[in-house]
Amino acid sequence: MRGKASILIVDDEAGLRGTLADILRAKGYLVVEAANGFEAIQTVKRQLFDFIFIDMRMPGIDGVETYKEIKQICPQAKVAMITAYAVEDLVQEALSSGAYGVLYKPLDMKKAMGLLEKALLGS
Amino acid sequence: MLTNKETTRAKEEPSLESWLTDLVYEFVTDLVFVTDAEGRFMRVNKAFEERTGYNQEELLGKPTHLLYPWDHDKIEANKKKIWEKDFVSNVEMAYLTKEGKNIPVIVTIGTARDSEDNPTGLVFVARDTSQINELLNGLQASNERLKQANRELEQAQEQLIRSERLAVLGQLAATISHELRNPLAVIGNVCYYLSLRLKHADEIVREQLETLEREVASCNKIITDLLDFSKPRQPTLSKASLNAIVSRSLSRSTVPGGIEVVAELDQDLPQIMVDGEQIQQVFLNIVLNAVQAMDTNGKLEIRTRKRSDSVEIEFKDTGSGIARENLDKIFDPLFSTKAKGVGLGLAVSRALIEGHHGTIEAENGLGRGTTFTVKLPLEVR
Repeated sequence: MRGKASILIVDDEAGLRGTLADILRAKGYLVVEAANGFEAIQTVKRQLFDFIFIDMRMPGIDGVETYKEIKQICPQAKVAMITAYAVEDLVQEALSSGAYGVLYKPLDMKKAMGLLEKALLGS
Repeated sequence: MLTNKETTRAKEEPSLESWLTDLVYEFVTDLVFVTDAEGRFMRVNKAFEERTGYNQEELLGKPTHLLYPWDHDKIEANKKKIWEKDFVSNVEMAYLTKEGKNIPVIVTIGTARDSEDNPTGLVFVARDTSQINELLNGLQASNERLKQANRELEQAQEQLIRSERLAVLGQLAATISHELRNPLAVIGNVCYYLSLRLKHADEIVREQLETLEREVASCNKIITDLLDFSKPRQPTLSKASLNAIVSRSLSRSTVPGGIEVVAELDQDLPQIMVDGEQIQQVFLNIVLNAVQAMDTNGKLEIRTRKRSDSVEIEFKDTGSGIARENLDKIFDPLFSTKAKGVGLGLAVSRALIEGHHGTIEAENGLGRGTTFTVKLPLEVR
């Protein structure tokens, strides 16, 4: 499973998106990047993903809206929301709509990898 | 020499003098008495009788100092002056009534003289000031109350200014913190990436990477404190063991080798409803403070125990202690005596503990060191 799993990263911050992608690629995953919610929705229409990281705050369609759209198209993908705020009503909304987990910036990479591996094992 | 005619008229109509005398003895409300040259009562007026409870007959010929036993010496010492001066005013005295009660009085003492101007005795005219004193006391009390109210108003105003300032600071902090978290996250990611790729690099490279990771973590702590302070989060309560939170906090703290940590955890400590993350954050802050106060050597003792209505957690260090004048301020936001640090750690800790309806206190040890005591209620209110 590992090394073949495909992961989508949705974040408007190129630096964050790029570095997380580099890490995941270094770990052997197949990684695709999307710079906003709209791009992400287009991407999941073309390709299946096992796991998706979505930044909560993005211009245009926000993270939770993006997640809800993606869930319709690609229901098997596990999704982790990423946020810079510990306090956020949106976090609760995402979790109650079925998001797999929430990660906080700056990412605790051990936690993030743990969450990812657990999700992929379960799928 | 009075003529016969005049004598007859004097009998028929009272003279002005006797009319004045009657006035003084019957109607004047001041307390009046007259003594002979030896200081014995000769005459008292009606107001005097009413107020002191003595009557003219029983006092006649008795020494006047029975009326003012405490002021006797004072009067004796001034007698000569009174003789010479005709009268002295505003002498503060206390009269003792027949019942043994004290009446505060202000007295004018004058000299009575015969036709040859020789002193024949003294006249005491006294004003009862007990009512005035009561009024004065009342005034003083209301003045105190006013002053207290004023002090409270000033404090409230200061508090208001402070909270307004903090609100502005909070908004600013929240915005900046959020903006800082993104680049910090990128640096963190890069660190992690490099440590993945440089797994086999030499020790110095790996040490440098670890330093980088540690510094990112401490930057993030400042941001977390700022955000927690400006936007306090309601605790998410669940039943937890405070002992476990203490142990977890210790395992996450960096304690130098020279500092001995002793934990005496009450094994029968009941579990209580807390937000484990928040309480851990408080304990981490206290441990961090203690470690910083001790430099490289010392002892940190942590005790947990059950009280009648709370669980108590005590952190006792052997560090430099807190200057007496700072003891009240250490929980104030932005107060710091350290060269490094924003001064929010303990302010946030207090806010978090108060969010749990608990208390946090700091106390200096007898010799040195500080003890922080956290109390959390057994039952959630």
